[in-house]
Amino acid sequence: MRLTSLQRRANYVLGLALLGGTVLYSFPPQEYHFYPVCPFYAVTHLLCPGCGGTRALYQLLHGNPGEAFRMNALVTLAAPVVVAWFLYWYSAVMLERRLPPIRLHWSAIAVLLVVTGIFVVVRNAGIAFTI
Amino acid sequence: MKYFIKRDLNEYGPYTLGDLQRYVAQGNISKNDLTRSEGMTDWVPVSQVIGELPAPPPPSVPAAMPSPGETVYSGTPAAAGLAYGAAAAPAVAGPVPPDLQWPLVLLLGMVSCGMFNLVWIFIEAAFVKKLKPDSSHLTLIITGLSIQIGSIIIFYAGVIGLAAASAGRSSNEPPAGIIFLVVLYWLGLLGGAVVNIIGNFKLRDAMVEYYNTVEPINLRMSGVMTFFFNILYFQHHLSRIAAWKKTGYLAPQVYQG
Repeated sequence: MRLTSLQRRANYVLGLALLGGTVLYSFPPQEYHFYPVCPFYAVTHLLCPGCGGTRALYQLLHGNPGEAFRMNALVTLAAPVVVAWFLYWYSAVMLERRLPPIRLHWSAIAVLLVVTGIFVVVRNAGIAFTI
Repeated sequence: MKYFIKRDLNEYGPYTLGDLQRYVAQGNISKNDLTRSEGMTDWVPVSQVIGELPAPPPPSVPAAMPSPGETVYSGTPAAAGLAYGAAAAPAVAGPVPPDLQWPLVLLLGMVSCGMFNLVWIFIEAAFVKKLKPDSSHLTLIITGLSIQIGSIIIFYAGVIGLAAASAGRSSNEPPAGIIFLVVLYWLGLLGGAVVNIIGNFKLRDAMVEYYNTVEPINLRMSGVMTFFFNILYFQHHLSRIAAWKKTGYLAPQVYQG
C-alpha cells in the first residue's frame, strides 16, 4: 500500500515517540544527565509547570503512577490524554478518516491555564507538588 | 451521478465523479474530505468513492498549492490551498497556515519547560518560508537559537573542565577562568536573543508583505506585539488566516496599525 505524505509523517512521529520512550525507559533521568535541562529553572531556580516532567514520565513508564504524580502532577494527568489523542489521530490518518482538529473551547483553555498557574505558585511556595 | 463535498461547515458541488478524481489528483480535494452523492444522506470520506487513484502530479503552482497532506501541523483535513474549482469556493488560494489556538501553544509551552515553543517557532517560520522563500527569518532564528544553545553547552563544559583541573588543589578560591565563562555565557544568551528578535521581525515583515500582495487581506502586525509575544502573536494571525481558508470567513483584525 502506498502511503500518503501525511501517513509517512505520522509514522515518523510514532517512530520518534517510541524511540524517545525506549531511551527514557532505559536511562533514568535521575542518573543520566544527557536530558535537556529546563531553561527557566536554570536561570531563575523556580520550578516551571513542566519541571519534573521527564522524571514523571519515567515513573509512569515503569508503572509507578503515585511516584509520577509526586514528580509532576500535571504531566502525569496529561500524559494519558495526550497518548489517547495521538493514537486516535494516528488511526484516523492511517485509515484515511476525517482528522480530528485540535480545538478546545476558550473556557476550557482558560481553566487549564488557571490550573497551571495555581500549580506553579503552589509548588514554588513549597505547599505541595515540590520535587 | 453528482457528488457534493463537505469541508468543515461548507458544502461544495455538485461535481461529476470525473471532476472529483481530477480535483483529488490535483490536490484540490483531500481524500479525507467528506462527500455524498445525490440521494445519499450519509457523508463518507472521498477515498471511499473514488477508489485508488494514481499518485497526484507535482503541484503546478509552486508555493501556492500544497500537495495533499501538506497541512500536517494543523491536525485538520488536508485542506489543499486552491479552492474546489473556481466556481464554488471563496478566494482562498495559497497554503493553509498551521492551526493551533494560541492559548494552547502557550499552555503546551508552559508544561514542556518551553520545549514546545522551540518546536512551534520552527513550524511557524517554515510555513512563512513557504510564503516568502527569499526571507531571511528562518536562518536568523536558527542562528539565534544555535548561539544560545552553544553558549550553554560551552558554559557547562567549561565548568566541568575547570572543576576537573582544580580537583587536586586545596584552595577555596574559584578558578580564574570562571568569570570568563560567565561573561561568555551571558553574552551568548543576549546575543542569541537579539538575533532571534531580528528574525522574528523579518518573519513579521514576510507575513505582512505576502498578505498584502499575493493574498491581499490587508494584514497589519504590531511591532510591540511581535517583540513581546512573537510565537503567540504570529499564531493568532496564522489561526485567523487558517480559519478563513477553511470557512471563507476572515475574522476582523482587532489591531489596525
